[in-house]
Amino acid sequence: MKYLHQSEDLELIQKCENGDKKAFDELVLKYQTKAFNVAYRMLSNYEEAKDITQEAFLKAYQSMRGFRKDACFYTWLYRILINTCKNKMKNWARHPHVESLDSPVQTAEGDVIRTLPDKEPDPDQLLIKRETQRCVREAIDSLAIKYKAVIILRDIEGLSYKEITESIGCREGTIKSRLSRARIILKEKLKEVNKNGL
Amino acid sequence: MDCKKSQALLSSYIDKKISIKEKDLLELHLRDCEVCQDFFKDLKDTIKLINSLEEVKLPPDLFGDIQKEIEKLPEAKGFFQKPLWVRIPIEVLGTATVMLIIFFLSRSLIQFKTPEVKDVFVQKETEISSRWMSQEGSSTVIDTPEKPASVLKDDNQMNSLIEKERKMYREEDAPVRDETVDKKDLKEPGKIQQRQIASYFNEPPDAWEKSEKVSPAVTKKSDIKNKDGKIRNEYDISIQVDNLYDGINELTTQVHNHKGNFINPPAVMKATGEEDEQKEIIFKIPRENYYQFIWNLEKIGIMKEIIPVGSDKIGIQDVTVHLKIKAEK
Repeated sequence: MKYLHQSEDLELIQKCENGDKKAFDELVLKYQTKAFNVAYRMLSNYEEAKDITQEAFLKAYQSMRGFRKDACFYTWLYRILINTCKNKMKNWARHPHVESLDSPVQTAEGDVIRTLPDKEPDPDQLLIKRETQRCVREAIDSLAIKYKAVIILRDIEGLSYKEITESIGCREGTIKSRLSRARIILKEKLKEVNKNGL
Repeated sequence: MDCKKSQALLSSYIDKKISIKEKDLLELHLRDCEVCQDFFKDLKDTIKLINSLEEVKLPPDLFGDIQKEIEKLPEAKGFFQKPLWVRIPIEVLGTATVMLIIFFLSRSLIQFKTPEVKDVFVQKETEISSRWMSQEGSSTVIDTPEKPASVLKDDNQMNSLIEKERKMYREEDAPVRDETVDKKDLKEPGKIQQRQIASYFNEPPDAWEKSEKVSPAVTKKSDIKNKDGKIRNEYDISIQVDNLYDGINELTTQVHNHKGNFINPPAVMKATGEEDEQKEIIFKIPRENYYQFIWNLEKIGIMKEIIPVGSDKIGIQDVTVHLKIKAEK
């Protein structure tokens, strides 16, 4: 997915600095899906991901004056998001909290499926696909935080190396080595999935 | 390139993040290595799998909740949007604060760098320097080999030097300083009045003859005044006596008392009869006894001049004295 040009974001940021909350609403609408998906992949928990995304946007709004205009808004937002996720996961280490990725969420309309509706007509294919996705999610979830972050940003969100360095705050060499290591670990974990052609 | 290195580079190769040289080597290796070929294929498939993860549906109330939270926050106005009557005092106050900080910092830095000047009186034949401070702070600085015009910055340094010198001289051998000067006064600036010590290096010899009787203390000070900082091992001394015969006898006694040795012993002279007007006697005397010897020489006659001559060899224990003894007619 392509992100909007940086100059358009800067205009909105300028308005936010002048107290225009509607400008910030536009930024939220633009990036909330991506932000939420990153949070969800990091935490593997729907409700927590929602809270974290909300918290990250609030922090971004409050720290708008600290935003360096030479950086991209979304990499800056991701940085806030990933750091907030890390803090949450550290808290979990003390108080374990696990929720199945497949359990439905209770809403006013009833249970809803977490993922977007599949377009696969064949139920068997649908089942295989879901099983594959579950394996991949579990494999990613088993990674250490530092490997998980780079895999999510690079292979799921499609950020460039430069954008990842801005989001995580590491040098490119570090990103390269972490990505390489993370992919090799996932390759080993998903060997069976790859072999069986799921 | 080996398989380990090749497999480590594959991830960056997929992302086109390796150098051309590494790329060439890697492709060369992949061409012939089936293991790495399989590794490469599995890695690409894994990335495809990860890419295939579907986007998670956004919670419908996420945007609304964010909006609500932001509405609760106070209206944040930029500084430059605030009215002038608010901005100007803040700016003025900020500027004034910064200037005050700079002012106090610069003052404290200047005080820190200014060295403390201490009075030092270190006694040694060639290494003594005396620094006399007037209350106004001016000083007559005498260079020494060790501390040429430098300032001994703290009491510890000063005390260690004084202690060192005391070890070289016994208290009773130490020449008497000016009676008006107390030892402790030497350490306290302002109590000692500035003394003008005539530089016998610079003044012509006849200046001495015109001068008053030189006290042992002043003699010693001028004697040790070495502007070039060199240690003196030879001295030319002129002394005027009433009677040459008695003067030489007394001198001989003093030389022996101070453990000196004659290089050219004076001839025994008759008390009566023909007497020379003056005699030059050369002798050596241990350095540590030299000042006491000079002090006692005062008892023999009037010291006319003491001129350091000779080498600047360090470590020589004896002082060589060329003494001209002259009878006053």
